[in-house]
Amino acid sequence: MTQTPAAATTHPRRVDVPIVQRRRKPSGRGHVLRTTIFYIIMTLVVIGILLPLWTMAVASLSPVKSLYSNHVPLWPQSFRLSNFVDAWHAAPFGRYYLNSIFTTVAIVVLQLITSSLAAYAFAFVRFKAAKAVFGLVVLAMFVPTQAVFVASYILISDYGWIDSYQALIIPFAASAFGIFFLTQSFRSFPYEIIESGRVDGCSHLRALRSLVLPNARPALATLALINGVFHFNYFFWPLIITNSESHRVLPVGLTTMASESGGDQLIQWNQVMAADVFMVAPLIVLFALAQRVMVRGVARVGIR
Amino acid sequence: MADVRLARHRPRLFRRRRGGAAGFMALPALLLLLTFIFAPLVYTIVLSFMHWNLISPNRTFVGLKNYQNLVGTPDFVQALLTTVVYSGIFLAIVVPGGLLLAKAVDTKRPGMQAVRSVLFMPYVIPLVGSAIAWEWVLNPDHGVIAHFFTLFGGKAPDLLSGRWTAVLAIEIVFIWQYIGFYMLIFLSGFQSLDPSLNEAAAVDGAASRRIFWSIELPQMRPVALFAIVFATVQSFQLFDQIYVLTSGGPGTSTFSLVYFIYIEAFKFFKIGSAAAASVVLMAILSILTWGIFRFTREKPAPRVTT
Repeated sequence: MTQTPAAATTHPRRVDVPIVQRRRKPSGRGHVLRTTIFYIIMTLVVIGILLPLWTMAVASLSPVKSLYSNHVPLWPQSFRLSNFVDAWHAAPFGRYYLNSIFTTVAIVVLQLITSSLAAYAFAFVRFKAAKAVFGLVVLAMFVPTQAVFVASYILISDYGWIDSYQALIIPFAASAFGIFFLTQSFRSFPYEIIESGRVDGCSHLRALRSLVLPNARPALATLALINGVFHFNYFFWPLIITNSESHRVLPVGLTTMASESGGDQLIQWNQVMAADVFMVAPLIVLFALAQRVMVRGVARVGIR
Repeated sequence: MADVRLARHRPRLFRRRRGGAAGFMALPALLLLLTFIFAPLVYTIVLSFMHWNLISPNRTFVGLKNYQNLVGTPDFVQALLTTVVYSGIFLAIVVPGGLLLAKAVDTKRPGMQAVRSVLFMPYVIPLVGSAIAWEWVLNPDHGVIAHFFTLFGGKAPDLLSGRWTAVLAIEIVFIWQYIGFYMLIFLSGFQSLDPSLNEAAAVDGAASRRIFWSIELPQMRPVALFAIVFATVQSFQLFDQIYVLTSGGPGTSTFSLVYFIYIEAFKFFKIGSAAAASVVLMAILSILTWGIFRFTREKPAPRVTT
């Protein structure tokens, strides 16, 4: 946390000083052995990470009979794609998807608006008590949301919002982390440009919209992605605040479907796993596409 | 009276306008944070002194009674203990493990880029999604681990049916989900280090192991600290995996603090007691966070200088 990017850049990444005595290249039997052990360990780690995802995919493609047989479920005995159709009809997954996408998009858009407005104020405007207010934002980041949910629930129910889209969206319309993150990134924008814009009669809102935001696109994308994934995946709050199928989001719908599968008969693992694929697959695809942006965000959080 | 107030007010308004009425741009976010984070925070504390069943119009002030009752509630004490275990094991594995994995993937060995991606991937997967996938892996009769055991003529243990084995199973899923995240935190730490230090040490003939212990590791202190605080806060809020894998069972033996609060509030409708447990949870987290920073004499607030 004490490492600031400014401090890091004062040292050149690589120094082109001729190194008099290069470190002896490791060679020989010991080296081969060490490399082999290293790769064996890393292979085991990778297998450990991929195993549950692999067996989920296999089960989602298998007939349920083979899952209850002696066949090792590391490869489908025979392919049964209709699992996905059955799972889709086992619960209103279309509705769950729409609810999830709608609430996530709404939250992200609202957060981008409120966070960039606030971040602009903190980064460029000298106003009364700015320091204290920013301190409050930092404090808000440290409040564990899972520890105040009882009171949140009661407040929301006092508003009459139980089981509504407002209850899923509005409490998250501002993000302390988002404000913090964008303030940091806005501060690297040269203040002189805003000043000269102001002299030319440009309002603060205009300065934000046409000067700061276009230059902060990477930060906005990172924030949208990180918080978007978080809220698409968020289970706890939707679990307690909604109770009807029509407002249910995907994670809650999935657990309900999984716990009801098979009724008092055997659990239809193939259908449960197919439904799980509905939940997991979009995120893996998103991860594959946007890995760089996400990694950058998490790295920023780490060194900040 | 009104005149006096106006007179005192006018210059302030004026100054604010010149100093930047645009400070109000922070207002929407601020109001939302006050309404949905700080108001519940204060309300939780207020409710912890009340007796209320969520439905009846009567709330009675009972002072510290909820706290006293909690101490005598075996489920609460057990949940607290189990949470400490969840958290302790999580920290003990995820912090050193993340550090070692970061060191491992930071090498130029072929394939490490891919390993990095695979390790980080679980972080984006919803907790309930991975918990359900793990439920199938751990299935004592037909899961892949069960098949592995029968291969050697044994019988797979039903992890989710015993107290500590169920805790272990939840812990495995929890670690599986997040170890890549901590790897990435440490990796970004390693990559922000000044390479000239390492090179200087290498010139002086230091072995790579020595460089790691004496040069790189001490510089990783702030990163490690962040990881420890983050992991503590994260592990004390464990819920989703428990909900899916055990529903707190067998009995109440895998209850975490958050799960206890959830059940207390929404199954038994003991709002006061749930709020008191929430306050305890917050107090523990505040003390731990403060203590870690204090102990290591690092600044508690994240630096904002860029």
